Amino acid sequence: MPASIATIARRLYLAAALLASMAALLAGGGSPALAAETPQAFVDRLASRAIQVFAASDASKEAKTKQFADLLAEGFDLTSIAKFCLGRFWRSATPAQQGEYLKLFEEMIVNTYAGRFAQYSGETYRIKGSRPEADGDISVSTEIVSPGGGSPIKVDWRVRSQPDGNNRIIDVAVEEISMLITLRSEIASIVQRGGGNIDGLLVVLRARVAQAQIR
Amino acid sequence: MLLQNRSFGAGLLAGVLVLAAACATPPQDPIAREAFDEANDPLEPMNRPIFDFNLFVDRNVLKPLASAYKDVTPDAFQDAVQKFTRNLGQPLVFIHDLLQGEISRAGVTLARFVTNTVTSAGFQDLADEALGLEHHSEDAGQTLAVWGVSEGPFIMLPIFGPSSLRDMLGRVADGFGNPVRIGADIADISLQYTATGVAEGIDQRARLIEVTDDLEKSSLDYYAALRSLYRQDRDKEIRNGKAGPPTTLRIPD
Repeated sequence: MPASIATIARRLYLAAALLASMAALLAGGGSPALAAETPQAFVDRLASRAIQVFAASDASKEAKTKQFADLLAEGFDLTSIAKFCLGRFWRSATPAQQGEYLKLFEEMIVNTYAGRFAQYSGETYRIKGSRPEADGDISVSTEIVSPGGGSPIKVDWRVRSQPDGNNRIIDVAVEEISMLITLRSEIASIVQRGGGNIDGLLVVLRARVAQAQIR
Repeated sequence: MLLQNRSFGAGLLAGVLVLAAACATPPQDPIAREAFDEANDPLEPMNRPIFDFNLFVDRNVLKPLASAYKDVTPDAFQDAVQKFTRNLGQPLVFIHDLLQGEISRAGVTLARFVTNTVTSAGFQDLADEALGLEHHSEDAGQTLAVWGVSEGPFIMLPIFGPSSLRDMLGRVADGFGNPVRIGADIADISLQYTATGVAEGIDQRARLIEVTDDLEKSSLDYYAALRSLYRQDRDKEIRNGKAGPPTTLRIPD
């Protein structure tokens, strides 16, 4: 009987090893085949796709804006950005106000940045490296070089890893000036001037979005 | 000079009284109070009308003047104006480099000033182009910050634009202490010196036309956007190229 005890023991050991490795796989641990894209590669991929969209001279302006909106939705955590910009007023808003705010905010961002990118005229970018930020975020540094010469513009992309393992950009800083912080202070100021209620903000956002549709 | 100083003192006193009277009452509600503190703008009731005044002057005088300058003069001329006025500011930058204990940056500033003054009277920037010595700016507001003086409330200055109590005091100190201005006084060429200041202002405004037009169009609240941009930019300038502390971005649930 000693042989079969040894066999059972070995089987148990193998089963335990198999379970352990499966558990490791499910937890998303260090298996190279399943490794998530690094924040740097993520920013590189997004930036090159954005340039592809706007460098394509044959597509219509509407088609470019649509493609750009999809790219923004894929690359940016717009919901978190919108919530952060509303800050402490988010919690005091009603669910209906929150819903409309998120929708309008997203439209406004797409319009603003599509408008900026539409002025694209052959700029290129260089990835300069990345460094850890607070909250486990990674900030990827790039330099934008314009074809006409002049000093390069420093642009930092703050990337936050999502619960599903995907990367999303949550802030863009141009020459160390955060778009998120600027927008947050504008929105806080509008809510504040509206007596702390976000209805006034929604009026401003609605007008902004409607204005962009006319143009 | 004594008379000037006395009227300046009276003006400063009057300014402080106006500031005190213009203070907004902080809101009682804790949520609104936090936003109020974050904006660092208790003088907003006074600052907003000044900003409207500045916008009026800018639209009707400064911007048309700057646009005309941009359209009429060749690029090389504008380049020379920027380099020359910048070079005139280098002695003051040098003093502030030293006051901040930034010895190697002081060395860069000194080398830039000597190189550019000798080779082109400051109209070219050979120090940057040939020697790789890049320009950086300093002023008394930044030096006060390095010394630990806090920012104080945000202040919108008439004509000069966004500032803070600290930067406003720095502006006054630099006005008095600038060695080039003192030298111009002694050499009896104050008028010419003032003219370079005006040229610098027009040149700087011309360089910002596209940026301010874009910001005015894309911002939700132009005043609040400028206030935030100013404070972030000053913060960056004070750090002298060093990375800032990591910032937390907490998303509300």
